[in-house]
Amino acid sequence: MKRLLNPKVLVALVLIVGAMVISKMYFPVPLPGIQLPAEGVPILGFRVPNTFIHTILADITLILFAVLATRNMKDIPDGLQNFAEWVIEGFYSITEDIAGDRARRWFPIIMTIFLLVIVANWWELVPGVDSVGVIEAPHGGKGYIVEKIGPFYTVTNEEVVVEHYGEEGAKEAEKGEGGAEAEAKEEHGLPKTEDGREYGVLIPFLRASATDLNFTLALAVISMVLVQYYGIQALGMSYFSKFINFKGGIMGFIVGLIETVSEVAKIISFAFRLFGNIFAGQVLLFIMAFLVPWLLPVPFFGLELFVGFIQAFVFAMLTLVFFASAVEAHDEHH
Amino acid sequence: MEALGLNLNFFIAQTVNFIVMLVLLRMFLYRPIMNMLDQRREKIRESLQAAEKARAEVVASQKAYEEELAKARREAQEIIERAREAAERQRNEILAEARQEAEQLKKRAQEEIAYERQQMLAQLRDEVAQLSLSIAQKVIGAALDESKQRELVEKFIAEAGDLK
Repeated sequence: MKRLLNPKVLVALVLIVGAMVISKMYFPVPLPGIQLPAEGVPILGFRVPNTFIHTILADITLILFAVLATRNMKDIPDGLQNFAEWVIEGFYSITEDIAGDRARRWFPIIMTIFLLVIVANWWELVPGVDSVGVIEAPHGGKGYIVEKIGPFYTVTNEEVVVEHYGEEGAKEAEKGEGGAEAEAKEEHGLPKTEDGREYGVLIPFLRASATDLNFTLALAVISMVLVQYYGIQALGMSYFSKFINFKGGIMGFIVGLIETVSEVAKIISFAFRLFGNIFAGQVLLFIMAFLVPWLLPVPFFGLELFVGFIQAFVFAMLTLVFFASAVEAHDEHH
Repeated sequence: MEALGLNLNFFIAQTVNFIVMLVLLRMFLYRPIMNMLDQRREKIRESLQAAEKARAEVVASQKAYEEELAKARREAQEIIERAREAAERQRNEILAEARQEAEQLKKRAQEEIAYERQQMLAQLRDEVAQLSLSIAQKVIGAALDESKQRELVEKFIAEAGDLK
């Protein structure tokens, strides 16, 4: 108790609380519209989902890492090469423990899943992701008042409820607003409220890949397709006896059906586990920054760093375990 | 599906992206690193083997050296032993010889003394005989012929010799 009431501690506490209060009062952060589908960023007339741009960013990061780490290979490794060797050797030994002789074949897939997911997850925590983008007219739901800061624009946390839904609705709203506003609109294409202030929604350039089901589902499908592939490769046609089973009587047949259903369920659980964790993490960070913009989100960034790693690891490890169980003969118990 | 944001095109894009990344990372990351690790493992094994061999060699040469040393020591000991034995033998020989010589000398001296004594006794006997003859001659005055006298004296002396 005496230690806690130390003047230094008190000063620190006051400073922390003060910073939090000041940030809440003078630097408020809007709560972004939370939506499941990825926002499309307009690029050359196409709508490219920001999650896909994020995936490309992760790709570039990884390729750059690979090239830099292997550019000047030394017998006594240092720097990036050392780090790359540590990661790869560590992961390879885990793969070898589970896969045995098949480790060399499976390792690239497992490693790529892990690297891609973890890098994509960790990029989410870099400032600017989810917060830098273009401001567009809202297609429905809510908009936010837009303010100009220097050469840039920012959305404030002042909400505008958009009455009309969809692109046409927004256009109708613009039409009804008249001349002066139309000029302003031509500048950056934003609608205005009745008192002449612009409003819009932010379309971030980047959003964590795993917050898009297309990404997680793609990985899940690849993983489960490869599970079937390796199963057939190892066991031939007898692999299917797991799913269509007449030997074990009616019970065996039902077990086979359950196996079939569980293969599909694995895809879904794969996809939604990763999606759910990362999406929830993103929303958590949004809400913490909205509640108290400064300092409060910091521990949650640490938490998300951990979650990002764990999810990547779990995805890779489950894939590995499914590979391993697929190549095992499963009619031993007959 | 729409509400979840699922879209076939984006799904395919992500799938293709993964496959491309798989190929690229395999080419630029896993293969070089794994090769490097294998190479290094090989190298470490080789150098460990070399070190083991060198150590064995050192141990062997140490052993040989020690053996050589022990052998040399043993030989030196032998030489010393042999020298001591030889010296002992020589000493004994010299001593024996000296003793023998002394013995011989003593014997010869004794013999000489005995001979001289014999000589002296004979001479004395002669002289006594001569003297007694001349005395007897003087006393008796040639009563007896010389040969008879000599016979008598010698008889007397022989008796005296036996009495001695």
